[in-house]
Amino acid sequence: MATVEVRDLRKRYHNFLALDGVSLKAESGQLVTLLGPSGCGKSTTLRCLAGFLEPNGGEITVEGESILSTPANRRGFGVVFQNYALFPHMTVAENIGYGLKLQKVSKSELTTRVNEVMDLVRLGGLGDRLPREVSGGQQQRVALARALVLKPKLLLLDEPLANLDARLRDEVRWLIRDLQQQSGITAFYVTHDQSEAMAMSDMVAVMKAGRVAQFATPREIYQKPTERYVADFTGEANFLPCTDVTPHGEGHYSIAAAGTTLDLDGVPGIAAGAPAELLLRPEALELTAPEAGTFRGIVTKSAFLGSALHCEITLPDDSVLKLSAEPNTPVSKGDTVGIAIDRSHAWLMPEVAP
Amino acid sequence: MSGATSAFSHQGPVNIAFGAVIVLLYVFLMAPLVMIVGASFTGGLLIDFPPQGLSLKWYFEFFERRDLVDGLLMSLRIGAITAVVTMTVAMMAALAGQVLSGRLSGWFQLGMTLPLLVPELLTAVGLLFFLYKIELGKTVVGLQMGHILMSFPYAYVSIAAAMRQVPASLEEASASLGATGWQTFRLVILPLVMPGLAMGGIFAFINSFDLYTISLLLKPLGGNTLPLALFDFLTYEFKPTAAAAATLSILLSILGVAIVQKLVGLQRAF
Amino acid sequence: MRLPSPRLLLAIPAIALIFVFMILPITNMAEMSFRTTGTKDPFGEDYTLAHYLRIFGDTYYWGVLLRSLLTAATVTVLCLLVSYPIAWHMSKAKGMKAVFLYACIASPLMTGVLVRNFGWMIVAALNGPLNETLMALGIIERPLRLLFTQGLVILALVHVFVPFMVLPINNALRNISPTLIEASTAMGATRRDVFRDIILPLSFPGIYPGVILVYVLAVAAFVTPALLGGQMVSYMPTLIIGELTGTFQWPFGSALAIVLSLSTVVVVAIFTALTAKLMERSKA
Repeated sequence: MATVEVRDLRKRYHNFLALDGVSLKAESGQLVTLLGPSGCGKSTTLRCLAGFLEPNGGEITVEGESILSTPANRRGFGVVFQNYALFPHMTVAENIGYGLKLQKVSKSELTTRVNEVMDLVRLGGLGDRLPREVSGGQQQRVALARALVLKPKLLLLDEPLANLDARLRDEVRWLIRDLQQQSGITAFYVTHDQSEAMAMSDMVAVMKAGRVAQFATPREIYQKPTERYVADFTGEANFLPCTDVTPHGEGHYSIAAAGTTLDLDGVPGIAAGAPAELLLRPEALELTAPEAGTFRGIVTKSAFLGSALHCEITLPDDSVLKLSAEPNTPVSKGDTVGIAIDRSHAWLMPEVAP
Repeated sequence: MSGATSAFSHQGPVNIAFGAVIVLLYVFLMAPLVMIVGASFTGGLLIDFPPQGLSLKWYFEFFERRDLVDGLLMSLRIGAITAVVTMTVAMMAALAGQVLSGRLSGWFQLGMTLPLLVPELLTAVGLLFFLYKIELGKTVVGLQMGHILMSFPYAYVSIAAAMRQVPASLEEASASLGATGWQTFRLVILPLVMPGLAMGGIFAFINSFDLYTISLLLKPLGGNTLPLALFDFLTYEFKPTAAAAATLSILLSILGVAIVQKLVGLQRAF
Repeated sequence: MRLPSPRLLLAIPAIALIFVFMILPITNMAEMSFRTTGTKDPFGEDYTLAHYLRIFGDTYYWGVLLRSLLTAATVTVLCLLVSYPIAWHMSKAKGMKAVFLYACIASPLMTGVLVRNFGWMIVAALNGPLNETLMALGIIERPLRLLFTQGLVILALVHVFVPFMVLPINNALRNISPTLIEASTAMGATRRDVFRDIILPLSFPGIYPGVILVYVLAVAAFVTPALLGGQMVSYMPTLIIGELTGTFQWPFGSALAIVLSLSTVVVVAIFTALTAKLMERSKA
């Protein structure tokens, strides 16, 4: 139930710059995901939020007030760790009730609240077991319950599903999202799994080398990425180099690519003639007759995958487009084909250094 | 199966000869201890193995000897204090050492185990002069400090090893749930390192009990630890009473070994 | 993070303990070695090099020093020969057998030098089991006087130090991956080849610390020579203790101790330099 803002956060380890000015914001009740590969600084940011790391610069505020001088044990945040960090010498119930015990809550209230939250995460009846006596998925839920029972202002989750197998991951993912929405807790979620990020989040911060490359809704991240890195990370993508970039008003451009010209939307602010790339998601492309397409090319690969025919088409400028066609499309290697694009799904991005 | 030897477990006569050598070596290792225990039960008057008849009389004789019993009591007293002090100091040091990383951590470990790496003779000589200078020469306090110093590494190594098994995320989790440093220590860390802590105390006690050279140089006038008393006894009298005293020491170490095995398992401890 | 974590302050008692009661005293000992001999006090007021000159100028002291260094070397080599097979055997063991063997190594370790040496007094006595066995086997006719001989001292020292050597070697052997043995056997290596070319070199990271530790401790061993060596054979430690508790010549005694320590350091340094390449190679 709190707005949390991170402004220009910096963290340096000896000679390695882990955070180079990270800025993002979570409105009350939002789940914000930090998405990126290992080493991009997402966990570091989370640990700064939790108070386990002290940043070298920048600001973190909750409801407008800085929390940087508050020690970790007084921030009132719930943390769910990747390896769950359950206390091995305490039972499930004791683990969950630990925070309440520290607050000197009465025994009856403690028991009630612990049982309540255990029912919420569907752990009923397991209270007397030790952590090593329950399954991985259950351990994960204990970790969740332990954080939630304290009704924290903010929930911080550090790749909580990374150690679960694929099937469990789905289940627990929805549990986490449902609980978060029902209780209205603001949450920060760290993951390297883009489908997780897209499915669960209100806002996504795609991180790259200690900075936020783009901070937007999942839809915007997917359909209107600000650079190749973001587009690449969030799904399958084709990139075509473009020339003769000519802006026509805010975010509209005409360009030349692979032998044709196009009018399309793109990242606002690209200068005329600047280097740029065309983002074409596979679902934006369709095979047609050679004369009917925006582009023309030769099929260099075609693989029957059962549910689709996966093709690679090489264009006159030697760029390659990948797309999925209906499984029974009559094309094979060497054919000349046309590719039609749904213009509303084409997107122009500036070429940015990786 | 260890890698070094698994490929050769099926070759006949060489193995038998090797086996015999091994048995001989183990006999070599255990012989002196067995001799002592056996000799302590002799019914005769001399120290000998095998003993002539069995009797407990030399144990009674031991408890009659003022000098030996006083030595035993002093050793037990000093050992107990050593154990308590080293466990506390080592626990604190291990907590501190846990947050160090990389090279600093290695240096710290080296520093904490310094009394193990430097020969006892050197440390004892140095302490002799030093304690004299600060007016603690030939006092029980001085002797106690010497024991604490020499036994500290044993406590530290055990406790530090146990600390290393506690993942940092447990401390972070505890903090995120609102615990102060002391609460995290009391409720999370201490229960988890308790076996290592106990083992450290045991090793420290046993080590202190066995110390000789440092006790020789630092001892107060008229006071003796059991090893000192035993040495003096042996220089003048070679009677089975000494064997009884020594057997007590052996019993102590066997007890120690058993407890360590129970707590942590010998393989992990060594 | 500008200030060090307050948690580091917890190390202060331990650091103070080691610094005040070990580091300071040992440096103080160095200072003591330069002091003049005292008349009423154990040491005098002025400084002098006389003690060092006396040590280096007298062949008697050279003799004792050399004997200490060489005896320690003998002890170390013998200890290695005894410990390696034991460590080998132990590294094969699993389960209860392993526990039992560890107990066999750990209990002597925990009984203390004095008690173990005492045991040897019993074994080596004129009417003791060793003489009895040898006479029964017809190897000797009259019992050997073993007490107060250099041989017994060496034997007892080897016995004391075996656990110090066995444990690191055992650990090193256990760390050798079985696939290395299998690979070389598949290439046609005999048992002896595998031992010489693979196991022995790769166990060096265990041999080296064992050797160094045992040597350092053997040079400075006091109790064993004192109890089992008697007055006939003198070693540096007994000499040093004599100066400190017998004649109260503290400056001279500490000069002897410094000389002993520095000699040990030199020997260890030479050994390290000679084996540096082997150590480098076998660290993997």
